[in-house]
Amino acid sequence: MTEQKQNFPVYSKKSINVALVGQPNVGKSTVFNMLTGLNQHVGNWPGKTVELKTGELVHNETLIHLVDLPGTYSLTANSEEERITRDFIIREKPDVVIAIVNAAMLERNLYLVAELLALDVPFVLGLNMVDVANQQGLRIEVNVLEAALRVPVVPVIASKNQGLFELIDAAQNLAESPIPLAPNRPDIRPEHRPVLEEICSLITGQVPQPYHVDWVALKLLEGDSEVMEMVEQAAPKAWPRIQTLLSQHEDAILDITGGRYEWIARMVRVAIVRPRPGTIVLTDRLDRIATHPFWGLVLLLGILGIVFWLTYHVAMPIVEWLDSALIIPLADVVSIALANAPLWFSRLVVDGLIGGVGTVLTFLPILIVFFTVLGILEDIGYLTRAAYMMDRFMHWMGLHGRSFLPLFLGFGCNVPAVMGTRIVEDRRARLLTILLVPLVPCAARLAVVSFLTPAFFGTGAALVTWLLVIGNLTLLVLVGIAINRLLFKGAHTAFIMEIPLYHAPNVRTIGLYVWQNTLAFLKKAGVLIVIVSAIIWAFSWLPDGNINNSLMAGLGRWLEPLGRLMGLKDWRLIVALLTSFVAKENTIATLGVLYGISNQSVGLAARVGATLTPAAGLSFLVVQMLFIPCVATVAVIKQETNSWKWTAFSVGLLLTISLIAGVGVYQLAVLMNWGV
Amino acid sequence: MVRNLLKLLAEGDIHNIPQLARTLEVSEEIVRMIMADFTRQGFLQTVNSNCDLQCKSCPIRKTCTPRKTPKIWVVTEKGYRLINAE
Repeated sequence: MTEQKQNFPVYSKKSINVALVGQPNVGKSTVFNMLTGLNQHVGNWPGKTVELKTGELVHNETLIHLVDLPGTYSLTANSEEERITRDFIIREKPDVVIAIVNAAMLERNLYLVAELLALDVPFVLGLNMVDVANQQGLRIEVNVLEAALRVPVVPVIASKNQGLFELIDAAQNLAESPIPLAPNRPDIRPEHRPVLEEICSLITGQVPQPYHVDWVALKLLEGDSEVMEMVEQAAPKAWPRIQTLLSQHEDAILDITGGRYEWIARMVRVAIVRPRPGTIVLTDRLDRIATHPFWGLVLLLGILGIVFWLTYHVAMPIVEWLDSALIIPLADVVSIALANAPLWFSRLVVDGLIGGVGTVLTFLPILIVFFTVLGILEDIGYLTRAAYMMDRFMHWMGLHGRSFLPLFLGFGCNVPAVMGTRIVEDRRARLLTILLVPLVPCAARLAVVSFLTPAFFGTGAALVTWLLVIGNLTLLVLVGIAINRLLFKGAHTAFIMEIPLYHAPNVRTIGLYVWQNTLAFLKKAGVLIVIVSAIIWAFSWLPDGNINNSLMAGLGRWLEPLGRLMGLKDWRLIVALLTSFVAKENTIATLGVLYGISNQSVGLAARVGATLTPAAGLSFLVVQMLFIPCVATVAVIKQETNSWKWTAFSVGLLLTISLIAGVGVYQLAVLMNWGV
Repeated sequence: MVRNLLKLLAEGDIHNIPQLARTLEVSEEIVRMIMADFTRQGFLQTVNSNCDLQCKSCPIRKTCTPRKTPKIWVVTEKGYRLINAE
């Protein structure tokens, strides 16, 4: 029987390596999670930003090492995922490759299978979601498909843990079988067979191990740039002739892909019995609303509203409870315990380190709620519909619909929004989305603005706040267009949006999704947040424990000339902006300390308001709305981009934009003689 | 089939996916996949919906509504080159 490894740590005698491959949205991760449970390791492929998932299980006393390869549509070197998948299969030579396909979308999924068969590896086909296919009225003749493909085919319903035993059994049998498979592979059409044979003869004996000559020749005719580069180096003498053949037969690609599509059409014709024309299935009924030009948007906004509601009504009370029941008592206990220690050390531990831990804990309930909802939406198949609805709007910035969700959820908190960009498959679009998230004003920024705006603008506060939000969103679009045009040269990846069928969510898959994402935050961003919080605390404490004499205050005074350009003639306002780096709410707390008034007091807003002219107040609010994001957001930007360069670019970009906007707004007001 | 599809598209008439699928005797899904593949390879190009200026002379303008513009592909120079390479 199949069990996860922790239950059978000792007596497994044999081991095999199995690779899981499949297109996105076929339930491959569900299969992997069901088979390995918590006994899995998540990391990155060496030198890449693509996620690597490995796991182990014991089946019939055999230890099975499972690798979940990245979801990919084909094996041509178009993307990093495709390169990783094919390089792994060719170079690492797993004992068996299990290809997971969505039974309800067999035609689309068989293209990858056609390419995998050309790699000549032991191969099992996992026909997942057969229940969904049945709901659609499709009947798949498994035995006929198996006979047509001449490889083992196992029907699976991964979300219900059905068929997985048989799937692993088939893989194990295949790995142990002495008789190699002779699968029915797609063939190149006759018109170009002679040229394929000539290329094969030219490169035989010169192709580096472990590449197969047939596969390399096929990829050369397809115009695969990576393979061409490899052959040019490996076979320099034959290369000129190969190059001539390739330029004479540029159209060979039509006969290679043509062969694959004809093969798919044959497989589907023999193995699938389709419903009568005109039958309306559940997915069609639901999609009449979910992808409707008007009602689809209403539904999307309603769902996003529910996400906000859950964040505020479920996560926020837990955040407050953690603060009052854990962080404050812990700080009190540590303060008492360190009563005899030097004051600086006691304050470092209590205000710096415990304060930093408190910040990390603050985000945990928010992240858990956020990822649970996101996991459910992705698992049932709604997220793709939401992306489809927003696609045309996001194209303005060179993005796809999937970027809309994390950007919109940035209004709640930028941290889960940056982490939520994991749903964006295209790497360039994901990076651009991460860079744009901090321009979405989070709840904390809005809270600071809501606190101060009435003091500056009285009854006009609501209008000013609304204009500030609109200003941020306009800048977001403009910055998005500018980065896309200038940095990414307007590159736009060809994108095929596959709309999966709706299906019931799987608790285990969603649970693991929440667990892995939250753990990643704690491990990487959490540590960075605590360290930076302690450093910022030190700057506001040193040298004598008085914030008015601190290094931070010195920096504020030093930056005063820059502040004057924005109408901010008081260094305390600059210090408040600087300390907002720890958390945006710190702006109010710092102003309270510097002005000697409790931050709960209405008097604080009035006092700050009295020191500033309306023009300077507006400039301060603009900078507050656009200033560098908090340390937690910066930490997750580093975590998600895996690059200090892009993290520094993000911080630099926001710093530049906020200063230019602040100076611009104030100088414009001066020019127009308004509020000065 | 793939070559025939590109030839049909290069003939210059207006086609739609159900009609192409009937002509080639394959499913609409296969035609959609090939069209997507052609687009990725650069043999076809999707026409941007910013076609307001040419609207009056467009032969399929009646299919557009303020809310919905049909997805349109055209054969690229690379696509024509492949067809002529036979």
